Amino acid sequence: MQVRSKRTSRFYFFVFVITGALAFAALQIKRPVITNPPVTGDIELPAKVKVILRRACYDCHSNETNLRWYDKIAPVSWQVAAHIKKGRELMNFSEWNKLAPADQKAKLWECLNQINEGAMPVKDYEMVHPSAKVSEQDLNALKNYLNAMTGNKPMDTAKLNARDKQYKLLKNQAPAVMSLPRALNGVEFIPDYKNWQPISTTERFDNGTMRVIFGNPVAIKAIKDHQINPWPKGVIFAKVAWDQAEDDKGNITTGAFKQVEFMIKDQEKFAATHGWGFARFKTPKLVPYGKTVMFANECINCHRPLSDNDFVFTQPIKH
Amino acid sequence: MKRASLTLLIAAFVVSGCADHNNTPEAGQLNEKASLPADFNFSKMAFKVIASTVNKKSGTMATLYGNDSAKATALAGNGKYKSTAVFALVTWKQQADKRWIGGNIPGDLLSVEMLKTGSDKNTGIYSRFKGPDLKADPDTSGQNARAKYILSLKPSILF
Repeated sequence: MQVRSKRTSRFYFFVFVITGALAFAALQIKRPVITNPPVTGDIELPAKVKVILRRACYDCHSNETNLRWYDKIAPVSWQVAAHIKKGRELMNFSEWNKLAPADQKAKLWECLNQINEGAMPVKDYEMVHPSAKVSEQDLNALKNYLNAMTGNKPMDTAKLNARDKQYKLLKNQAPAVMSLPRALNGVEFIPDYKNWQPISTTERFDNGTMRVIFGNPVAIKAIKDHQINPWPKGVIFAKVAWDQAEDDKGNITTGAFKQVEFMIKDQEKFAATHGWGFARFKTPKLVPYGKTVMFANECINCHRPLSDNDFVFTQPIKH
Repeated sequence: MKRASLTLLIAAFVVSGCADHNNTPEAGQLNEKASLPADFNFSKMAFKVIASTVNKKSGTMATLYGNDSAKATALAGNGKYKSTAVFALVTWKQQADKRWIGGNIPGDLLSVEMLKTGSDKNTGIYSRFKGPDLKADPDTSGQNARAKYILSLKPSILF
């Protein structure tokens, strides 16, 4: 009896192994095809910065993906293919010339911050490809390179003229009843943000702007009650960005209005973007940002490293 | 011993695994050092934002607030302030934004300057409060210059 049971279990084990092996082999038949499309406009960087990006980013963010043999075995290969597809969509160093110069710069600062926050390179990728790891030294090299590109031109007449033009526009603006602009995810412009309380300000030397972040009454109450992680439903932030206008004594004031961005907390309505409805309205004409409804992915991807802080960058000041 | 080190190893692994997703500096915390003391009752004054400035030399940043009258006259830009206009200039020492390399945010609270404009003169009643507790500043020198500076600030453009 005992012998027979041992035999049966051995048989089942054998069947299990064979089935497993066959299934594994079958998986290999339909492998995902990962190709390297032509490099149409590779990013130009100093060699010592470029070598870091090549090592840490290029497998998923360029058309020069270097697949190792273990990347080609299913089911890992499926995950690898998905990573690369998404990575190239979000940012592609091989098609860098498709971005406007200002957007190129902004992307590099985002890279620096994503790496600094530990969000990039993706952890499971880094575990399998330890050479992709970005050291403190690498990070500093990237930081120094970007820092060297910042700086305002004092008394920049173009900037001052742009500001003065907007002052005129503001004074002559007729209080016309117009329909409110609306972003593609349904978030409507909220003109009343101007009357909200500020919760912080930022000097952004990476892109030469100044910002004030306003909170609606629900946000101000949440700050008062220290209920800010997570923020309660109904909270709205409005972040305004201006050009920096600098005089010859190092005084910076706000220049031309660039945009206002909203974040609206509603866990159900905006479940796809972690409970936040994003919108950005650019220029005095308040043109909604985004070509498709997918624009909000861009927002949430940049906010993702702050997932343990309810995806919010601003550290509120109590007034 | 072996067991202890194994437990330690597992613990270290778990902790490092968590650390990847829990690394926002000061997550869930307010910017306490930049916050105004509650007994100053700033929020009860229901001021609105008029302007925002940075001084690179002193490494400070400031926000100019005011009541509706102050905001309206500042926007008009004709220098004629109603006697009811009240301004408040809050100044902070800057600190690097720990959550975004490339940004500076308010750090230690340095001062709040209050200005009530007079009806026929360019300057009015000025008072200054200093330090994290916003203690009234007994030093009254340079008040006119500060009042003039506050009135000279151009409002930030909002659409």
